[in-house]
Amino acid sequence: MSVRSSRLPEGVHDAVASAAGSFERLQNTPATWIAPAALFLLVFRLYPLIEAVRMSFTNMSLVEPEYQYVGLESYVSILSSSTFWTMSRVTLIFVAASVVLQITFGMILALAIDYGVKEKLRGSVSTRVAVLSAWVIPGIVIGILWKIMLIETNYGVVNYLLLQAGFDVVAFLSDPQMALLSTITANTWRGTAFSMIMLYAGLQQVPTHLYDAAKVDGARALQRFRYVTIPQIKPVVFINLVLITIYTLNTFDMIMSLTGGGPGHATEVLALFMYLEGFNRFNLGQAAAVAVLMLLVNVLMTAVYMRIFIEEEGL
Amino acid sequence: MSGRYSAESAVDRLSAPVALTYLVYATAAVFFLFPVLWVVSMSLRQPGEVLSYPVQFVPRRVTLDPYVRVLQDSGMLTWIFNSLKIAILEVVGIVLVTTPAAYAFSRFDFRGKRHVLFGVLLFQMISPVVIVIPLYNMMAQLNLLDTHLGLILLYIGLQVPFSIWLLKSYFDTIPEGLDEAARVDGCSRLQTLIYVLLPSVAPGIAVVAIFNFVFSWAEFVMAFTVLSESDLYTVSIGLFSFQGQYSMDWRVVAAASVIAMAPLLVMFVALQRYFVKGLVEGAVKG
Amino acid sequence: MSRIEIDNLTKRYRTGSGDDILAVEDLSLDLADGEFLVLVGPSGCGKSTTLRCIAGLEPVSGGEIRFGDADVTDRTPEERNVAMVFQNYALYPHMTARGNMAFGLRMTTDLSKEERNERVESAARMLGIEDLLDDKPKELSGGQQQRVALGRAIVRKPEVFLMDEPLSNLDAKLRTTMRTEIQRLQSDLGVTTVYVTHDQTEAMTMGDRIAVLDGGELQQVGTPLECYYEPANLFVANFIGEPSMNFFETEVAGDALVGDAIRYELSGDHLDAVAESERVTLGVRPEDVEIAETRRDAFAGTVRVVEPMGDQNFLHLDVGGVDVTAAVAGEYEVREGANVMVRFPEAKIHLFDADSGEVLANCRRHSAQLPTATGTGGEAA
Repeated sequence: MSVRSSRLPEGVHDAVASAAGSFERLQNTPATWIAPAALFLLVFRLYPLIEAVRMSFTNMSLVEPEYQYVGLESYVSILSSSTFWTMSRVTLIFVAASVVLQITFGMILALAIDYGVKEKLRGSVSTRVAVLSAWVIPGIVIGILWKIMLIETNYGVVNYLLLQAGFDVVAFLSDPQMALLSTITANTWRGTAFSMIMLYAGLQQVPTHLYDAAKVDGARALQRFRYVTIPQIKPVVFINLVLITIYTLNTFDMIMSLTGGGPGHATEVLALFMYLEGFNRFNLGQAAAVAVLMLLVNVLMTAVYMRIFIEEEGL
Repeated sequence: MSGRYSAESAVDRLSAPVALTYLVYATAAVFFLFPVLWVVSMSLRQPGEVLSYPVQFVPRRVTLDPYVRVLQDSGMLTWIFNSLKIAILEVVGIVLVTTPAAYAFSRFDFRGKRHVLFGVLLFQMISPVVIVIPLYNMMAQLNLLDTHLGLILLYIGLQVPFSIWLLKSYFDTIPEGLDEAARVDGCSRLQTLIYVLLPSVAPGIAVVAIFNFVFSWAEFVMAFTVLSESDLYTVSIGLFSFQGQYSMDWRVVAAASVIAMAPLLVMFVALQRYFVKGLVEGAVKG
Repeated sequence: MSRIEIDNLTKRYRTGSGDDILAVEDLSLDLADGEFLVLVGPSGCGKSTTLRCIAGLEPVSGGEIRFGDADVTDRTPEERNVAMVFQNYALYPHMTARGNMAFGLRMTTDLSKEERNERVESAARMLGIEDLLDDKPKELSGGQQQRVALGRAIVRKPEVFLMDEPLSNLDAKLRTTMRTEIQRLQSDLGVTTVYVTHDQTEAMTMGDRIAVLDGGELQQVGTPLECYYEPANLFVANFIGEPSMNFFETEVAGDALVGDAIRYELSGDHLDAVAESERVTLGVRPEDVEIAETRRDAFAGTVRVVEPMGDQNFLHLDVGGVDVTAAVAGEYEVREGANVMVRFPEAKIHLFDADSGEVLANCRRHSAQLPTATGTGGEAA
């Protein structure tokens, strides 16, 4: 009896101790901490990616449950369709113009604010807030904002101002070329803040003593910009370039509400084309093929980004 | 003599670059604020003032009628409630899921850590738009279409990479000496995280929370794909469907837009510092 | 409070490329109960790693650590009942000084809040920081943070104090004050203490004994004076002492040591000491270099730089191409460029085998007692 009664608590004690011990051991394994995040990543990021590639080799359709593997057929029909190439051209113009404008305006603003803050000029913070507020607004709202701005009669405010300046009313959203231009404008309005902030952060990292040294060496403002600022912030500019290229390439919401891809297909960038192909025209297979092509561009840009990243961070 | 010289140079200094800077400020303020102010002004007008010529920049007689119509004619109140619910739960979820992971990536050394981190970065760089079609199929198979739960889980999944990288950069700024002091003081890893590290990474968690809130509120593609019943809509897709129906009365569309962006703008102006921090760190670090 | 025994401690780090780095190799140390041991050495010598192994922050790769009779090698820091003071203090930024000091008690003991407070306040009184208890670390000066960090260690009433370069972030003046304060605390509390530093002044002034490490290996353990006067090898001779010992590379040639710079005649015991060696390093401390008035047994040197310290001057001389530092009384006015004769008295030289670095002969050391007031007072009256 006494032996058993003294043994039992000991066994319990051991069990508690080993449970506590294994809890301790769990805590010392990185996998324990990472597992939940990893699960989310695998389910919502990795699996769909693999699935996209698989789907692109099928003739899957939203309306037909049955499908076959058709090899490269989806790719062939996408790459041989003239619509795809039109969309690609639209996307290219949209992305290139947006990126150039965003970097240019972002750089001008970053330099101005950098100068303003150093000289303690009033309005530096307000300007930054004004620019950034455009970036906070949801994409859908941005599309509507510009749709209202660009109303195509004399009571649309931009057209009104043009009329006052002696021009004619412009069909900002119903003329194909103007529609693309409007989309680029709205996207630049949205994205400049991001470039500005990144470039401004880059400017802050240029050591002041470099400018002092350049001044002592007799470099004037423009020369200092050319020989000190530019080389110092080059990596930031590149990172910025890659990031906004990816963001712009995948723009969807703003165009949805501004033009819906129209008129015709004039502003149907690849992201929209893919979505409509899948959900409006039910060709999941072909949509997936477009997605995979977009994915390749994403990965390519990411590879460039990571190279800069690795060089900079020394990782 | 020298006094005159320095006075001259001060005038010289004031003129060109300063004037140029103010010109940039003014242009930027007009370009970036005007569309917002214009839509606000639009939303406060009497019916006749929208189509008036010449254009009125400031409404002559302010009315809240367009807002009343938005709230009466659309599910806007429900959508706001849905968006709030989804955003808050997503924020709670992402903080719970990514804080431990960020801690591990900052504090453990294990084989292949660098590669895993780069993998996470790669996921972040690939836009979710690219995987929207397989995601739709997957959500259908999981019976998560037309559920808020599905959308919340999906949002968490999409936001994991960004949040891990940002939080990790905050953990990295805390000296490991604190962990060691805590160990000597008798803390397990979990206790160290809760008692010692969390108070110090709180600003980072705040940035992650704010960015995820904004993301959830503004997100369109996924919500548009997963939710099809208007009772379940978020503000973004609600607004999108609403403006399609009401595009004839721009005042009402404008009012709905103001309602959709106001919470984010207010949050942004109040928490400006956090936004800039998150933007820079989230982008530069990945 | 207990003695500490470290047997054959080895610590290897695995690096990314698969090569192991040996941070500590086969280190054995023995600390008596209540002893203050200073681990000293250049950066990367393994002293901090050793301390972290004693703390339980690093698992050991081999060997054993015992506190008293208990083998603590596999225990967590908490189970070892150690307290540690970190180089950067590692104060929890969001807690007040009081919170910082009480945290360890909160985690490891069942003490009530009142009891914890009592312990914190009595420690604060010892350190003179009663008024700072409700301040957060960032409101405190470096010296005050240092005291809080010490307080955090004291309240635990640990078996062992571990201190990792605790003074290196303080300015010179504060460092001197804190040095004496830590010594006073340690001797009042009588807790066995291991103190890591790279600063040899701290090593000389604070410890009961010094352990000199280099390249992960123990070079010498001894009292500060032993390490100074009887260094076990070239490394210790060079490391301990400021400015450091002068060295001449020589070869044994009959009764003399012959180098590029000097020819030094040996006699008696010294001859026996070098009998087995071919190449010998001759060392002499700056204060033992004499300025000679005659040429006999002396070497010619040129004064390169004079460093006046007040009480003494350090002369940096060129003796046959070798840099030699000599300490002379402060009242001498020495011109730079002056030619002087220097002599190295044979009783003061150290001889080392140049190949192994091991000592062959140390200087003769006289221990003398400082005359005390009571002892001399009677005679004077």
